[in-house]
Parts: sequence; C-alpha cells; structure tokens
Amino acid sequence: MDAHQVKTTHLNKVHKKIGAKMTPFGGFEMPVWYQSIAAEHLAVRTDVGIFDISHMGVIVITGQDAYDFIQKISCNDAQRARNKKMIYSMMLNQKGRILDDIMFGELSLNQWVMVVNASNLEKILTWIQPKMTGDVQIEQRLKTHSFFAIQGPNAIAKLSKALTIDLSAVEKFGLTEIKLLNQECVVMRTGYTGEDGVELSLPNAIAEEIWTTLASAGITPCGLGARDTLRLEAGLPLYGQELSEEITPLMTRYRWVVKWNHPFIGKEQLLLEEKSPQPFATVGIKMSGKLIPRTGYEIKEGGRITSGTLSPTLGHPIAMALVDPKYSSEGRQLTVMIRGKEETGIVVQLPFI
Amino acid sequence: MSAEKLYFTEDHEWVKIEDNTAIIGITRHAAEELGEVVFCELPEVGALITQADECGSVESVKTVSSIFTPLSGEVIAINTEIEDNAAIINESPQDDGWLFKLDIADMREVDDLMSEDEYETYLDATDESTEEEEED
Repeated sequence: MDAHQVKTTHLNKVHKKIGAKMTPFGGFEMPVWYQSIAAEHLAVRTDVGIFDISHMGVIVITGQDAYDFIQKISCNDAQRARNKKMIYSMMLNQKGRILDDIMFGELSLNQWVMVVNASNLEKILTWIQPKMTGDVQIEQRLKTHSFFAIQGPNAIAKLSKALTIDLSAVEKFGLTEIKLLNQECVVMRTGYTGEDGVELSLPNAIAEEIWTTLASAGITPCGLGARDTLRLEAGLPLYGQELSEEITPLMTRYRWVVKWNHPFIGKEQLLLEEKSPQPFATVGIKMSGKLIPRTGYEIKEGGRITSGTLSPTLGHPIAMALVDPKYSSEGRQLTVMIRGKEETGIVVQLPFI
Repeated sequence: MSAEKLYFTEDHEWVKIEDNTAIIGITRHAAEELGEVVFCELPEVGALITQADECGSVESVKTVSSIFTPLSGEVIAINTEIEDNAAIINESPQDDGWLFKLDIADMREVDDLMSEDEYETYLDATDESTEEEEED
C-alpha cells in the first residue's frame, strides 16, 4: 500500500494519546490494540468494550426508489429489513460472486442505512452508482461521521447509564435514530463479536466527547486485534479472507442470505449453480497442536485456511477454511500445512464458542 | 572472560556474543510489534544451522514471525522456560526471553551484524514501514 494514501479516522490522535498501537488496515491507520488483545477480548466477552470502526463505510440511501434499488443489489430480501430492522446480506456481481458482505435496514420511510467493508467502499460505490435509477440518492458518511461498536454482555446497561439514554426499545438487529449532545445519531443493535451490543454512527463533532465519556464509564477501548479474535470465535466471516470474488454465497455458511423471491444481480448464475455440487465449503477447524494456522496455509486434503488465531477463550488454535465439501463433515480430520509441518485439525461446528 | 558484545539484525534479532558463544533473541521492538507471544518454535539442540536460515518462529495471537539465525553454528542450548511461558519474551525480550545459544562456526559473520547504534538508526528509518495484509 502506498504510505501516502493511508487514511485516518477522526479519533486517530485520541487513540495515539491513550497508547494505541496502530496498524494499517483496509487503507486506514487503525488501533490494533491499546493494552493487549487478550485483555480486550476478555473485556468484550465478560463486560463491555468500545471499538472505533469509523473506517467502515456507512451509507445512507434515500428516495422513493431506494427500496427497489437495494433489492436489486442485495441477494437478501430488503422486505425483511423494513421498519427499522438490520439484515445481513451480500452484494454479488453478475457471476454471483461476492463483491461485499453488508448490513442494511430501513431507518424511516424511503431512508435506508447500509454498512459496507472499509476495503470495499470505493469498489462498491463505483459498482452501485450506475445502478441508481429513478429517485435514489446516496450519502456516504466517511468524512462526516464516526462509527463505534460497543460490545459485550454489559453493553446496553453501561451505554444507557453513561449517556442517559433508553435503548430498551431497540431489539436485537433493531435500528433507530437517537439524539446525543443534541446531534442526530443512528444506533444499530448489531455487532461483529458474538456478543450483545450496538453500533453507533455519530457526527464527528461529538465523537471525541462520546468516546471519552464511554471510556470513562468503564467501557474498555478495544483494537482491531481483539475484533478479529472475537469474530473468529463467533465464526463470522471477514471479507478478503472467508469471502471474496472467487466464491458465491452457496459456498459459505450463509446460503440463507440468498432469497429467491426477488430479482437481484447475480441471481441467474446462482440458479444455474444451486443444484450442482459446490467446489468449496466453509468449515471451522480446531487444531490439536500449538501451531496457529494462518491465512493462506494449505490443507493437504484440498483447500486452504482463510483465517486462524489462538482462541483466547478456548486456549487452543482455531481456524476457518475453505475445503472440498467431501471433507467438511464434523469430526473429519484434516492436515494443515504449517511452514512445512503437517499439523492435525478436526472439523468442528461454528461458532467455536 | 571477555566482555560480551551486543549486535542486531534487520530481522529484529539481537545477538549477544561471549567468547565463541552467541545468545540469540528477538528485540524489544520485535516483541512490541508482535504483541502477546503465545508460542515459539526453536531449533533442536545439536542442529547445525547456517547464517540466514529460517530456524524457528515466534507466534503471537496476531501474527507469526520467522527467526533467521544471524550466525552459523551448532545449537548448544534452547530456552526451555519459554515453552511453558512464552510471555517472558514480552516481559524481557532482551534478557530472560532469549531463544537459543549457538557455538559460533565463523566469527567473520559477525561483521554482517549491526551495532546497537546502527540498529537504532535502522528502526528510525523503517518506522513507517510496518505492513499488514488484511482487509475488513
């Protein structure tokens, strides 16, 4: 990556001031940890942590034809996201291959919020712009807003108390507008850790004050390192690793995101492939030894590791992989090639915890 | 006993030389970059290794880093303490967290290593170059 083009989030200086170790990620300089991955991971599993995820693309789509537009670019059915509900979906190309995995929901009549991956934002904007027909406008909030994830079993309680707000009406996967310090913010009861919590889109003008208030209220600042171990334990895919333009949703654990009841880009190709055997299946692997499988390591029987880490909760290495479907059944033993060594792993159910 | 001397490599290893013995470990900078070290692969005692050979690895939760031996020689000891407690590498990377000891085969190879001063300069020059290949 060209060092001159590394972007920063609005809170970059705040992170550095509190001792964050920074790393390039998705084109941004982001905190990878403040204290340690293990401590931050534990905070989210047992209490609550806050992540700056302002590198993610938050897009607001408005207009009378916004619904039709979203139906076209999403393989999941936008009808399910009506009335303040976030749903998981994927954007596919004409060949049914995954351009991005996304979350979206209807915030109010003819107003939708969509979250896309940082590394894909420009690609997605370029992809969708020519497909906007009729009354559709998009506003991307990268420069104007920050985006925080507050995650953990105590997330709702501590957040409500610290900001004196009532979030009880926002159900899991719910979406709503709230006012913080007199500014319009969007709250989603979603996350990427396997824990309860919210994701909060807020104007940059109040971002530092809100961050500081939450951190002072005992919400642990967490970096992308813990975000990765948390999502891996929860079996959640990361675009660029589990998901890519090489595969279709039919090769993932998320076959269900494809809803055949509406037309969408890539549908015709998926219909052709749906009845055939798939070349890959996504599996979870528990390793028997101590060596950690990393992205790209080969599986001797056929396939490759897409993500791997030492699970802080379980204490042993775990991985996700794309394998030949005939090796994908639970309990199946696989051989992972780790720097020339043959290491044994077992296919296990996802999530890991 | 002659005074010990400390050297460094571009791969962020340190080498302490006492007579004909080299003690090798990863630098404080390397340990900070890796984060919590959870596991190490070390060469076997008795192994003959050649300068720049990959002879082990240091794994953290986040990533794995290969160890390239700064000098050729015979491995005469490994730090067995880190098998049980790899965190020593973070706590004391340039002392208790040493990795292995070599009986140096060719003293002339020491000329290829950096002094502490040179290593500091090297760190300053490469400060912005940490790369990660990941996407969200």
